[in-house]
Amino acid sequence: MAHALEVFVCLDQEDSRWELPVATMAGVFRCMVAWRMVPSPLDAGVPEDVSRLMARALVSHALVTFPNGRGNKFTFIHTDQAEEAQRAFDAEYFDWTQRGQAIFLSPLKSSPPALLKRHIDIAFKPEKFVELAELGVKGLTLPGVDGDVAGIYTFGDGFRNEVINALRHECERAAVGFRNVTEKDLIHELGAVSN
Amino acid sequence: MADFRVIPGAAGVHYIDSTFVISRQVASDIALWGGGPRGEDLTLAVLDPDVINFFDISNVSAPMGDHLRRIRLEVKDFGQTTLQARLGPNGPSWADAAIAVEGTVMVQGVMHRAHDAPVDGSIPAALGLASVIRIPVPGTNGLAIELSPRGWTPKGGSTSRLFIQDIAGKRVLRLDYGFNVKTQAVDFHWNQKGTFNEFGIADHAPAGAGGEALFRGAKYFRYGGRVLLVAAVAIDVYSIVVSSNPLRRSTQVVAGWVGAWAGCKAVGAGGAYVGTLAEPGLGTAIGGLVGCAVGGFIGYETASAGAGRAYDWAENTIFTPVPASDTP
Repeated sequence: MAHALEVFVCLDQEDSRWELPVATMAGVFRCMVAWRMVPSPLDAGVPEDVSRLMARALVSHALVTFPNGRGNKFTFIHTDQAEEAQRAFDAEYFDWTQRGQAIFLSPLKSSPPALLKRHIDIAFKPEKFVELAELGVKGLTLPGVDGDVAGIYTFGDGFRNEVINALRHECERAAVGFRNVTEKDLIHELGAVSN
Repeated sequence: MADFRVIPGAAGVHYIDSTFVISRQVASDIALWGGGPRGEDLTLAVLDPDVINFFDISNVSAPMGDHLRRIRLEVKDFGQTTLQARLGPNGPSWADAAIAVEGTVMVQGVMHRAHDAPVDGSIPAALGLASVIRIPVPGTNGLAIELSPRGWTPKGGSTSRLFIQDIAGKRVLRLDYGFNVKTQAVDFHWNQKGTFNEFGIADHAPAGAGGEALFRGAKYFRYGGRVLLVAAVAIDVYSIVVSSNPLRRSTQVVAGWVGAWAGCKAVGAGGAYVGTLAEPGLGTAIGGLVGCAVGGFIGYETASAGAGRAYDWAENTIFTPVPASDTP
């Protein structure tokens, strides 16, 4: 069955129910990405079409780093390839749908950031984002409630706009609807899925 | 005619199943009534002198009545024996008293728990194990019930409290509380990935009142169960320390825990299967957890008792080497 897909970007997200950090330090810019697929998928997680668009948008402006593996035997994968970056949304141990994943963004054509396991915890503590910035990280992509939304945090307004524009571009290229919405509209749009 | 009797109000002795069960802590007095066929005084003898000492203290204690003698029993070791009142030192027994020392009561070959024996950890172990063991769900290609996620979660943990998941956490049905994008409300709901064929529950399906109750129960059981496990270990260690035979008790404890683990898995799986037939998801979890606790208790008790018997058999068995022979 063919699915109808639409991607939303929300810049005024404040509701804690999304389970994304809201109170960030100065210099951190954020937005929330959501999607609506009709009919609704039976399985949790980022639909493959969406993860592909997201991965392509991210690698177009950043080196993507994410943890992969199990327990203490995990490694950070650094990539500028969309296919590999897409794996971040479907990893086993670092499960996006249970808010167990963090995607680090750093400048292209530069050394990857020297991340440790504790930096995955820090990714969920906006008051400590400065520690990540000091390692060369310039942004984060985090899973929101049930992995149904993604929060993008950038250490600079320009980079946030680059990522949003890249996502818009990828949506247009894939003939997928793309809209900037308010938080109120987003709740209405996602609620319309089940109606 | 003669018989042994309990002295009303006497401390340290209980008459249970035709046996005088005597305390290890205090001296126990019983009474011997009667005499031989012509009124002869009877002579006392104990069949196993390693278990008890006895003294006739009739002459140094208050009279109890005609033809009544006060016999004081003192424990020397655990075990059971028979006190006889005979016609002469080597004559026939005119009255028998089965005597058992508390803590090692054995009647007709069946071991019973003495009333002063320390409790074991079977109940808290069975309950506690259900909170940490993966309880398999038959027919689901490797799914099992757990109270914790398989993967990494940020500090503060998962918002889910019950998981039916594979070992990698890749396929999972979990009971969650939080914002539900489908219902546009904060509610109790199921999230699932790769388990729809087994349970027929779609992602974000509301869990209802039953789900709410299960969520709350699982939330407290997750931590309460771990506390029970620690308590069970402490109780069992204590029972070993105070045991007269620590090696035997240790054998029982180890076997009990292994039995509890196996019983939890086996009966839990059965409960999950039956629960799934009743109500996939909710019934699966309840059936599995209850089955695990019941199976854990049965497994503990059965294995512990079996280990005790095996220990006794081994301890009392002498192996005689086969004589060497030159001819085949």
